[in-house]
Amino acid sequence: MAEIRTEEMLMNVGPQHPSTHGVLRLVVKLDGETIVDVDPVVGYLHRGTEKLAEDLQYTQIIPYTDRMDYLAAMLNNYALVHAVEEAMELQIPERAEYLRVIVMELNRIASHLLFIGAYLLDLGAMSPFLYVFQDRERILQLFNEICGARITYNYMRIGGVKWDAPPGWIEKVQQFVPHMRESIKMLHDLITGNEIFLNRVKGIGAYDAETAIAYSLSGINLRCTGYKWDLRRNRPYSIYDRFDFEIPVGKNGDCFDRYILHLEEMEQSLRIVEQACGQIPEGPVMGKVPKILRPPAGEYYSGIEGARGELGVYFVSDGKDKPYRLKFRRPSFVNLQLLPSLLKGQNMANLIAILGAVDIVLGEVDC
Amino acid sequence: MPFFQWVNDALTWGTLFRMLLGGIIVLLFLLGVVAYMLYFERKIIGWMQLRIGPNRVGPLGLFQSIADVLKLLAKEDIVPAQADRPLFLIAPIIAFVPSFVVIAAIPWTASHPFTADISVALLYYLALSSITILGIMLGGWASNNKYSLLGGMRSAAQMISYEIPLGMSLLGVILMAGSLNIVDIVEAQRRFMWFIIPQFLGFCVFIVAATAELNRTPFDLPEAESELVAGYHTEYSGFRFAFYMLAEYLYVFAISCLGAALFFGGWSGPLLPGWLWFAIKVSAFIFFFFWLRATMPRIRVDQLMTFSWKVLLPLALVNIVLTSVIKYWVNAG
Amino acid sequence: MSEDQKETLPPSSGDGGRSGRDAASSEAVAEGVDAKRTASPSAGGEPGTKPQEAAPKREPAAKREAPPKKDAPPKEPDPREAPARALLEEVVAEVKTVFPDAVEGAELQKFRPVLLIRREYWRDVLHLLKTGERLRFRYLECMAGVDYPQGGYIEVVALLTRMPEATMIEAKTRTPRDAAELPSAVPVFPGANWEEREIFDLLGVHFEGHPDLRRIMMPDDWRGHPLRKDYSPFE
Repeated sequence: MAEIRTEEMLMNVGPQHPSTHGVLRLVVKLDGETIVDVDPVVGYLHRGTEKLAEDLQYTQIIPYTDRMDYLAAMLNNYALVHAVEEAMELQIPERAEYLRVIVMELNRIASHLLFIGAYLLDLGAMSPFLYVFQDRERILQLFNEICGARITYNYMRIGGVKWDAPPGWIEKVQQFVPHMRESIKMLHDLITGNEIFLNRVKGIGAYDAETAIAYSLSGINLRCTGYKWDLRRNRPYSIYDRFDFEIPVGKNGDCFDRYILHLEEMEQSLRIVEQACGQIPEGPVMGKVPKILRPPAGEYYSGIEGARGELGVYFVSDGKDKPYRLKFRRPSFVNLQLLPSLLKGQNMANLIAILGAVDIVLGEVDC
Repeated sequence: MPFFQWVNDALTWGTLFRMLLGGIIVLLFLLGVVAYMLYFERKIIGWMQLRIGPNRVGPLGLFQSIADVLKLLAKEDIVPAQADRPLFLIAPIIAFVPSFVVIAAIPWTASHPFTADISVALLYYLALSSITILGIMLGGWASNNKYSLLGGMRSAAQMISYEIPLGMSLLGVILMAGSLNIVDIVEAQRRFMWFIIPQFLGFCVFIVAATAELNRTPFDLPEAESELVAGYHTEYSGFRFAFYMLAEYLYVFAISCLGAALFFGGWSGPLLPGWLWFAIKVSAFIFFFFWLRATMPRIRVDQLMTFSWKVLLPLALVNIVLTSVIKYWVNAG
Repeated sequence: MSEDQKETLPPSSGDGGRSGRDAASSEAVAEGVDAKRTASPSAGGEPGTKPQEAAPKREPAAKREAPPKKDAPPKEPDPREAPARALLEEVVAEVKTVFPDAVEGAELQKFRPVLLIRREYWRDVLHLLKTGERLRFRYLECMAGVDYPQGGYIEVVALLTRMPEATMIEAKTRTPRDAAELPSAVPVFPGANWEEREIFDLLGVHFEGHPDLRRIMMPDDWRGHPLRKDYSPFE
């Protein structure tokens, strides 16, 4: 019998594709449904934030950070103001630090919620997506009350935060915490035990800690391998050393671990929010800062634990009020590098499962 | 209703007219059924997902589906430049026609005015429903789109694999009733009991295989929108797309009818009229499919095949053997 | 626009180049302080730094052209300084035992040891920093490129972390602007792949031995490298 001639097929997944979470394009070389090679193409959302920042004063850059990881803009805000504050050794009022921690952790929960919804949507389950939006909506309402925005907050300032919490806001957050715990339990009931879901994510896209470190992965993508690395603990910043919380880690480094870690981290974030709401003092929310911010000449780097991994800000100051060079270390961008090697030999269905679990935000990848 | 009982009449112009009239009435009725199935699917899933569902067009959104159908019919009929034109045009029709034709074998009531009382009804159903696969495959191929091609191939593989356990699961029922005629099967259940009880294993296989055969969640791989955009009908729009949708929902209806007739005693039931009983049972089936869709994630393509061949097929075979052995005993004893 | 931004004064001109790179002290901050902030509660001097003479604070911006006076009283060394310096010396010594002439300079930047590596040794030193018995900086946290047109070079910076302890050092190297070329770090740190592509794309540094050096952010047919200081989008 004559041998059947087969051909590899080149397929463009994206940039307009329902499940690439934005405008990621994957040039996939397929043999049947088996992936031979993947080339991620990014940059469709490149806005040149780093270039723009060179012509902006430090405070003016803050709104630009909102647009990077638009699912966790509070954390982006913080990454920038924290880097400048460290460079200038500014004192932040206690109340501002607490407010920052509360909104950051709430934002982390909101971001993780959306991950779970979108991931399950990728895997074909529609309902969780709509359930998580209910809870996320409550968080966004809280943000709306504190800073007047739902997505792009522009809430933090170098030296503090822009607005104090309105009366009753802290109580609302405190009421939200037990509600959110119930929701997490519901999500566990709905998803974690589902046999079809487990079959799709267990053992898929697994890698070990050595690979993760070699590829500079951070956040859940690193912790899912069992390596305990969380900047909130390993290099404490802000007031995280005052709170009692754990760093959940995975075991196998597969998609299931990444999924379950998102749920577990939400619980830990709730613990932090709860403690912060109990401890928050009265006082000013804006420290005493110079009108024109001129970090002394030099190079600075500071990283925080963003929702997707280490969110770092490296900037070079020449003593002026604008950064000479500003570089964001975006976790999504770095985490995405591992994708091609994870996808080789998988099929199209796993592509979605693996890509979804990396948890990227294209605004951040392209910056 | 003797006016519509043409089955045993000689073929004259009058009979032909009555046949055509009956067919048109059934077609319109089915269009209504599909329109309101869509409406209820969106409403029910909306409620399950804490949403409202359609509520704009007409009272309670009741005319939403009709508006959707009208929109689809009014749309431009786009044929991609690189597509295989004749195949592209004919594929939706190939997919749609069998879905309508299989309804002919389903008895809706005891007097079943429009139903062809065929002695090989089940065979007829299985044979015709597999023609739809051709339409889907051709549509995927002719679109000249890689997503469509993958979707078409996937659905061909899936529907062929699941057709076998589906047919096998029906064999148990056929053995018990001793007939391929659905009317006879319903009658046999009236005398004995609903076949869901003796044929529970068969029913399980049937419902899983039916879901897969319908390409519905969790087996909706051919149209897995997160992977393949829209699968085989990615390139279709307007009324050709409507044909595919119509075919899909008609099959949901047909399979629900089949399930109700084979396992739940069809139109039989106390107090209420037969057609109402049948409608209730069919609705319950349809609701079950919607419910699944709101609950389940999608199964993976390789697991799907393994599941069919390694789990469903052996189970169906076991069911056949058990049924035959028991039937032999009962008859002998 | 926020209130802060409206209040800020126009940027001072002059002060070209990078004056003084010893950033360990931050006395230069207070010069921008204006005590008369109106609405915002953040008025007055800033407590983290030493409040200096109050007089020049009320000067209009035009008069503040000169760089800040460097006559701050010598303050007691920060407790973070000593261990950082020890680490710096240790790392430099380690590198020098293997590559005696690889280290061009060493300093502390905000309590972070910074090594300036000769570019021929860039990859080798990174490899050493990663695998050296007493070094083990195996996590590449960040890579960035900075353009210095005055100096005529582009600096590429790699921030490396020792994993469980989270101590960080910075290795950097310089390459001339007009023929920017460096050995790629990808064979040592696979995670440097996209970072280097980004530096190549935006700053035009060619990384020799990079497996896949293409533009990553800009379109493939883009001309120029946007993050260079003399870049202009217009022809």
